[in-house]
Amino acid sequence: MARILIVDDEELFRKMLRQMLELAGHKVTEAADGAEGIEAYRKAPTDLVITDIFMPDKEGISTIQDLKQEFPDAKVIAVTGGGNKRCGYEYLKFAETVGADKTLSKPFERQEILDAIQELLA
Amino acid sequence: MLTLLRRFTLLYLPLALGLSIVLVLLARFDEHTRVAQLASSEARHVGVARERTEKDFESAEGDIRIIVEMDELRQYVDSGDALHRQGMEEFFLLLSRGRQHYSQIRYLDASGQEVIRVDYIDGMPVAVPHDELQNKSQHEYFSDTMQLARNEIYVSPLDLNIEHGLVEIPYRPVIRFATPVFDSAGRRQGVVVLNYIADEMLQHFRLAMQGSESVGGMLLNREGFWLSSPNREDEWGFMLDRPERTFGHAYPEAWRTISKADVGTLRTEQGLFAYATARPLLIDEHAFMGSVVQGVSDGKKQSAAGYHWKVVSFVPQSVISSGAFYHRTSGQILTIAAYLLLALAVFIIVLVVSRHKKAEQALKEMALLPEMAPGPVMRVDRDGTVCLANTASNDLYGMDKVEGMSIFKAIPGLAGEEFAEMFGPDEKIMQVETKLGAAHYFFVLRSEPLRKYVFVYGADISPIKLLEDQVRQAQKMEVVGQLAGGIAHDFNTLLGVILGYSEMLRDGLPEGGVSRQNVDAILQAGKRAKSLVKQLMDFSRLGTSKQEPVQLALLLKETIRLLRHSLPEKLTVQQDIQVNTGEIQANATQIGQVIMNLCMNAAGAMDDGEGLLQVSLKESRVDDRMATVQHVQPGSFLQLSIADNGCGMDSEIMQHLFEPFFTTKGVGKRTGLGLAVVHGIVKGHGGFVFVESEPGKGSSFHVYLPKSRGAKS
Repeated sequence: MARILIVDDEELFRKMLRQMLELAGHKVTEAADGAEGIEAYRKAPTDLVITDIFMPDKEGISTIQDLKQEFPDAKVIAVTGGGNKRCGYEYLKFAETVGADKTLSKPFERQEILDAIQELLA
Repeated sequence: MLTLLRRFTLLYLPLALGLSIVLVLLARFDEHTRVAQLASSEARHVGVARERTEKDFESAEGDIRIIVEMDELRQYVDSGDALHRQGMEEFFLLLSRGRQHYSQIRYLDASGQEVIRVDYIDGMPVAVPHDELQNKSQHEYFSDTMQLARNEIYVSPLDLNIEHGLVEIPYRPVIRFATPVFDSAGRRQGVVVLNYIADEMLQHFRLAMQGSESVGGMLLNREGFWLSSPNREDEWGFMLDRPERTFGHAYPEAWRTISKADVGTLRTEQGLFAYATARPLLIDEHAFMGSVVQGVSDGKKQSAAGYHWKVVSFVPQSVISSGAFYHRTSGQILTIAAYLLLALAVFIIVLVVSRHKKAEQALKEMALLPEMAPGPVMRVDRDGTVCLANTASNDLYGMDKVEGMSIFKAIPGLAGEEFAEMFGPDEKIMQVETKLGAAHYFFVLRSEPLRKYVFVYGADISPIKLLEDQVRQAQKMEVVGQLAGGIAHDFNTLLGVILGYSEMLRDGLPEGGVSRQNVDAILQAGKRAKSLVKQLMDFSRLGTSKQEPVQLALLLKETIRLLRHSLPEKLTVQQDIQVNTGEIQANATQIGQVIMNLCMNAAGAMDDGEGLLQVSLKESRVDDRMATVQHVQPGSFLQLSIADNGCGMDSEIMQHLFEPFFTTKGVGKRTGLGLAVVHGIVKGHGGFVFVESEPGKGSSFHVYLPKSRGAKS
């Protein structure tokens, strides 16, 4: 069982992922964008942060950068559905370069995310 | 300018030669006329002079006849009476004073002794005293006269008087008239001699010749010696021991004719001669004895007709020439004017011809313009019939001669009413775009100023149309790509929600139940949606793509090999792949998908999968123009072509070819993303796709991918 913070601007996705992870036995908290996510982590650090890339106000890349700078040991999985001008693949690669420990493209299957969590927290 | 000068010279020289010939002929005619007039005038002068000379002689003949017929003289010779002698002497004095042209009037007795003699000295007749009378028996005139019969007269030649054996100075030209005197018994008792002074006669002769254009009148004796000459030194050559001073010597050619002929004119190189023969003695009534040359007497009688002089007028060639056409001011002005006028006329002709030639040349060059035009150029009359057309028109309509064809057939879609308006009062320009077979043509119709015809100019705008279509297509793809990229993230997120909940929902449902099957269906649909979005992302270059150096030739060969099993067996695959084409920076999986999609598309275009599929690869260069249209960097590209001989496409289909979800296969058969994905992947590689197709003839897809910089072939 691990403590996991989900950062995503899409509430429907947050709720679905939360339910999926809680069913798998994890303890989940939520944040609607990057700034809110970092603030939540400060108050109650988790074992893992799952963050979206495209978000209003503070997007995922800077969120990972700031989080890793403040908490170098924090574990981060970056997810995105792609879109906008540049391809999702490049954003995920970019996320890796700024400190993301794992990346996944939306939509992913349940087993993919659970395997990734297990791999990181093993 | 040089050409003008050359043309002028070429035309002027022969014409000037012709003019010269005309002028020479004119000059000759002029000279001929002039010489004829001169000859006529000179002949008249000569005739007058001849008559005048003959007339002067008549008095002397008359006088001597009167003397010998006088009773006083007969009585004297019969009786020798001094009274009769005195009577005769008084008569001689009377006659001498009256006539004034006898230097001597004499009577000589049979012994040659002067018996009566009256001299005319200084205007006065003088009877010579008896003791001064001389014997003249040795003189020719005496001995010759003594041989004559009654009524016959001795006439001496005209010569100079000799006194005491010497020529009398100043010269005194004289003719001796003599006749025998018979007594009553018919015996010769003596002779009467008249010394006729010819001065007056010669003056009359010269006077008669005045006004002539000749050098002056010439009077010649039978031998051709001058008795009167303009050059006085030539006169009396036979008396002054100058035998060379003869007319025959000076003018041999003329003399040959003049000495034989009686009257006439003669032209020699030396000039013009008019001549006449003066016969001062009355023909048939008299005869004379003695020679015309002094000192040469043959003692025989000669006829009166034989006693003659030649009256000659001579106009030297220099005088004739000086009056010639070219020597006259009027002739010179006329000649110069003729040459100048000719030069002016030739210059004007050359100028006009030169301008005409230039205009002709310009017209010829202008006529080349429509003929050399790559597109149709036609002239159409009011009825809409093509009446003039260039070769390109014939080629376009595949005819030997387009003339006679209706413009409405030549330009489908041309409205009759609008065409009729072209012949209206206002000049009009009309533009018509139409399709001729597979080609797009743009026609401009223009009315000409006289409104008799309409000029039609056409251009094949198919390449422009194709480029336009491609630009439009590229723009459309860009928009579609942006749209897809814009919604992809949110769509994937929502899809994640659906799939996530479906998976969780599925866990709580009993296996084999209807609800479990329904959730499985949701999951299946969700996964397909995920796949679709991925393809859409690839199309819009939003999908994941890792590029690395790829040997396209090898990839192509490998893909075709793998694909062969998926293609219909009846399809013939022909490969023309250049192996040493080097590397491109690419995602091998994506390029493989491009090859696969295109090949499957080609196979689908064949009826029952039967046909020819041609796959080729070669290096190609994309120029600036193509690069601008396709939004790529110009340079070295690899051109991958996949062509089929299937059903082909019309322009309508080609416009939508790369649009996502566009398919000709019918709903459910294909996703309609195959060519859209091809477009997206190729664009993602910095390349472009160029399509050629014609309905019924097949299609060719040319994929251009940029070569890696510095890549070796």
